[in-house]
Amino acid sequence: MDVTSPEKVLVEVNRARDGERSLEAAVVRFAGVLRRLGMRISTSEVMEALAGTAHIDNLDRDQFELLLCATLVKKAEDMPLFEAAFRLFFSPPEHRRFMEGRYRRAREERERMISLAREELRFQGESLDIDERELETYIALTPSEQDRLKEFLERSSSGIKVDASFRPIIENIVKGHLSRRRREMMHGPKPYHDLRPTGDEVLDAVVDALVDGAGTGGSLLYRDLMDISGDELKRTLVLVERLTRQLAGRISRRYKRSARRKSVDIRRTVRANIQFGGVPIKLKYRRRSVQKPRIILICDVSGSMSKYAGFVLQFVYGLTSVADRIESFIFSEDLERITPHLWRRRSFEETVKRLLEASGQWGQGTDLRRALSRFRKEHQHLLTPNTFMIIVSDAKTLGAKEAASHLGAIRRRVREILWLNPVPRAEWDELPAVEQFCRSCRMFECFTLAHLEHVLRERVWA
Amino acid sequence: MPLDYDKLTLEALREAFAKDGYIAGENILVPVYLALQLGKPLLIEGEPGVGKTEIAKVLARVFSAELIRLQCYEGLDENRALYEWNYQRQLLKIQITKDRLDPEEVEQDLFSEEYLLTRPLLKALLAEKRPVLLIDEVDKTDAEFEAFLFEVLSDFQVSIPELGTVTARQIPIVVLTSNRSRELSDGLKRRCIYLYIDFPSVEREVEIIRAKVPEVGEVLRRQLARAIHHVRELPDMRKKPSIAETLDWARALVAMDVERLEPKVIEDTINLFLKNKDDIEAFFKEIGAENLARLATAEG
Repeated sequence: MDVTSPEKVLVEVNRARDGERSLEAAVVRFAGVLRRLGMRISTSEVMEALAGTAHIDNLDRDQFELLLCATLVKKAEDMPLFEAAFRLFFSPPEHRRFMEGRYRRAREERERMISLAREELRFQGESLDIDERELETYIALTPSEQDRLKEFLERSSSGIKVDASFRPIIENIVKGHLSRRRREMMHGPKPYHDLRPTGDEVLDAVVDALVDGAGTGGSLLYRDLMDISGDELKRTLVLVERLTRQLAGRISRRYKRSARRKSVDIRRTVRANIQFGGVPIKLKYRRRSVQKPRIILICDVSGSMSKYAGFVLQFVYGLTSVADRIESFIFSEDLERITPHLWRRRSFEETVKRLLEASGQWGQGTDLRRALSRFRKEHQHLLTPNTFMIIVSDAKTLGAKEAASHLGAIRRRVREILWLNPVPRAEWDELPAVEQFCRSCRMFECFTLAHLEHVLRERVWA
Repeated sequence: MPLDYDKLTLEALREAFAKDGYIAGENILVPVYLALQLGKPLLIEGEPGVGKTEIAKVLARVFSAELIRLQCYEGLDENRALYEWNYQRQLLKIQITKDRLDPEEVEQDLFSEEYLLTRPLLKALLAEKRPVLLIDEVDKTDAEFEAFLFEVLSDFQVSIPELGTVTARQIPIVVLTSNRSRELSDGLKRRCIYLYIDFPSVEREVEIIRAKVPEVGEVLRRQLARAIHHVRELPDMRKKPSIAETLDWARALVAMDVERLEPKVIEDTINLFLKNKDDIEAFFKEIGAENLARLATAEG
């Protein structure tokens, strides 16, 4: 049989694909799509979904969707994404073909752009040795920025006494520029999906279409905290409150453990059992009282943090409304205690108003050194082995070295210092202070609510 | 006639639920059915008051099974969930048989089932007839207990050092509920069939009111369901009115001989469906009794 003729090959390929399109294969591949969209699905859950197909009417689309939903999705927040993915993945063949076609075209377009970019970025007629990620950044630049870069390459190529040995230097300059721009661009909602193509066109097309905005858009969780508008603040507040309640829950649970370790109170047991001739029939216990940790919150409200002020305030307010023993401070050029303003029953708006009126710290320069030094002078008594200190700041401060040494001194007297930094981790390299501070604290990037949730889930408190 | 667990069909389950007065859509029935068929625990999440616990009760009724309930709380430990030795009885036994019996024999006797105080989990494993085990508000326990729980739920056996391993006589029907006050561990979720119950649609709630408070007239029933639906839609509610509160409200209106929702009626009875000062304030600020009455009566 002549299998090399194009028609025969097509028939073979289609047959293979049809075989693959059995229900089992579809479920497994669909689970793959969900995983790539960030859901955590174990093999045992996929097996369960497969086992479930024996019990339902698989031709009933709704039942089939409910089966996959009940076995693969274990978080209410993931439901909209699941539904969108299901609609796309189990769509009629013609729609899927359309999607695949669109995806293929987009991929071809991307490849074309990348080779074009490679053509454009040349030094003395030769392409630069830069990777695809950097080329992608170049494509994303504005035309004028691209022109500037091209102009720079042209000028440096034609300089007198410039020979091929300059090439690595020029390459490094271009790479440095592109990676800095990339970091700047990344400073926005960070995609949590794994977007590397798998080579499976259906799978990639579905993931691509969803990331394009079918299912995930609008989730406050992934929005950059500085982009959240005034209207959404209230909703964010509810979310922050929920997250912080989880946090407070964690804190109290941790201490339950010691509280549960009840021990026999010998003195009371002996007394209670005199009536039984000293045989301990009625045991009397004593238990350690539940110790909830103290939280000290220090928030940076300086000029550089002003875009996050909304988040900081919500975080403070949310945490205060669920945790009991909390002392709150704000600082910019100096430290100020704001605990008295955070009265529980007061509404968020009222609290913010009072805070803004009462404090002169808003939007000033940042001097963590002075703030911590004042803290140590005036509030040293708050530092106990049972205290968590939470600092919310971008670590852009004067006197970082002294501030770090103050932080080190505080660290020795508290249980843990946690630092929530709204600057993306990728940019920390450019903030020399970060490294100094990290010696005494655990620093987390935190510029979306998802980050905050992640911090809470990482068992910071355990 | 109770349902037969071994010959269960989706249709039979649907009928049994309806007969019991639990109005459920396919989105609830299919996961419940799958959990039963696959012999897996059913984890139900949702806002308070959407009828999570009720599912376990309905299951117990339709299978005429015993409902064993483990109410979770912060600090719940294995002793209270699984078993404890009745040491008072053991001490008494020692006292009584002090000089009469061979010590070894006494010791063996002391750690027999007779001296075991079974708590809900062990009780469910030892039950002769397949029981329904309801583990309510599992989000209130701590991570260690959760780990212990999923060990029990995956093998349906526990080991008691003095007695050996106890394996379930019947795999119980397990229902776990959570109000989502915290995220449950992946391990526990992995072992369960997941069901998220949202507040019912207007149509479904009309059916629920019809089933539970049949005295309410058709007009008022629709108005009530629509009004509650609008109230739940309000942003940032601390506690959205539950189905139970809808039913309470309906009963109260019947008692007051009300036939239509009017602003005055809503103002007088607002405490029946909003139980929080902030929520009531938000209600009057965002929507108000007059608008709610208009919204509830306008459509249909």
